[in-house]
Amino acid sequence: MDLYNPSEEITYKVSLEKIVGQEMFQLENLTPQMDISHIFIDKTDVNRPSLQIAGYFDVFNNNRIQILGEGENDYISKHYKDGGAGQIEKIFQKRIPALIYTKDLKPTDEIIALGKKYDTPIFVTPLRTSILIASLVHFLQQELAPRITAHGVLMDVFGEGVLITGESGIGKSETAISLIKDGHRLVSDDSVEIKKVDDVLYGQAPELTRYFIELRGVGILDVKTMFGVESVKDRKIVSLVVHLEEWDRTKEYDRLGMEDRYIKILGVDVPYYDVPVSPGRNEAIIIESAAINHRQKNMGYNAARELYNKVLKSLDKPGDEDNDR
Amino acid sequence: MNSIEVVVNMAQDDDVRSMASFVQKANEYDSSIYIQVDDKKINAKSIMGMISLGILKDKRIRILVEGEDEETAAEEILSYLNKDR
Repeated sequence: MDLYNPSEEITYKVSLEKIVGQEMFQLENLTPQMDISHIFIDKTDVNRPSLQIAGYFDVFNNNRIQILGEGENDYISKHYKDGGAGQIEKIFQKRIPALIYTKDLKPTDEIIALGKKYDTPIFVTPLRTSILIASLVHFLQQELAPRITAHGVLMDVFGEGVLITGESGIGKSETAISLIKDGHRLVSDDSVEIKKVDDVLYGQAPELTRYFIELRGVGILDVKTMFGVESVKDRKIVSLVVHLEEWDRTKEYDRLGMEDRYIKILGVDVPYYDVPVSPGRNEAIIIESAAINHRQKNMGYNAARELYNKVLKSLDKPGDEDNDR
Repeated sequence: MNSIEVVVNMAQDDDVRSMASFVQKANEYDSSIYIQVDDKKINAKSIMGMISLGILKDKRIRILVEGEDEETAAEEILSYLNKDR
């Protein structure tokens, strides 16, 4: 079973109640008596029904939240004597999840009554339309993002999000503690919730176990109180995976790092390192080195390639290196 | 792969401890063992992962077992969960 790339398509939903509850949207409910607990959104887009106000219904994304701004309201006041009630009713007839007015442009009582008739909640916000749309889409993308729970430790090492994976008991948590002692930050121990938004993987800890770490033989530790707030981070982009495994003599490990290896998580390629563990190897330093090397590669410097080029050059001009001095 | 569906019946006041002993049990096998609750799939050998699921009492969970000893693992885990009742 491929745990990083679930085969079954899951459609995530977010309740309208949760959206309304977000303070950043500053939504005032104009139909407070209505029960909205059964309304869920599963689309990350929102819609401005400008064309529908003008009468065009051939294409209409009725399953999205509808937002009316200044432009639509101005059009309504200039083109419809009834304050737009007739047009809005046609939109309500298409069964939309909710209607939001921006810039404090409250609808007429007639429209509110229509909302009640069609069981469609109406909200108003003081925000500008573009601001509301941007923040609402961002919120919906987070809430509806494909996600998995990975078994591993997520650390912020020199600004790189390193997901440390490996069998139970291989020493992931022990490595994490060493890294924390060296000034790096813990995001999550043992279980990491990873969400994909715009092909970027965001990792965070499950609410219940946030900033706790389990150290075999010692028990549960609270990293935040033990090492302070500087030792934890709530969310981090997963930028590389380091897989710890027992040293297998028959297996070939990367000795040069010329070619990049990747692992797919939720369909996104993430650089991947297989690191053999054996007594005397300091995993924390290996992970630090991997993180710095990854940073350096991102900045355009590949140590293995530089060495390779150097070797090639020395082959071209034998003896040159000695004459340089 | 073996897949079992059960309704959990653990004593609520003893939840974390019964989870710890369940994790201990899961670690006895070579097979990979995963618990699926709603849209979450958690490694049953990980105590933090299991705790993050919260209280499982009365919840329907699915146990996925894959590996060489999956037959015995699935059987024994099921009887372990049933014993708790």
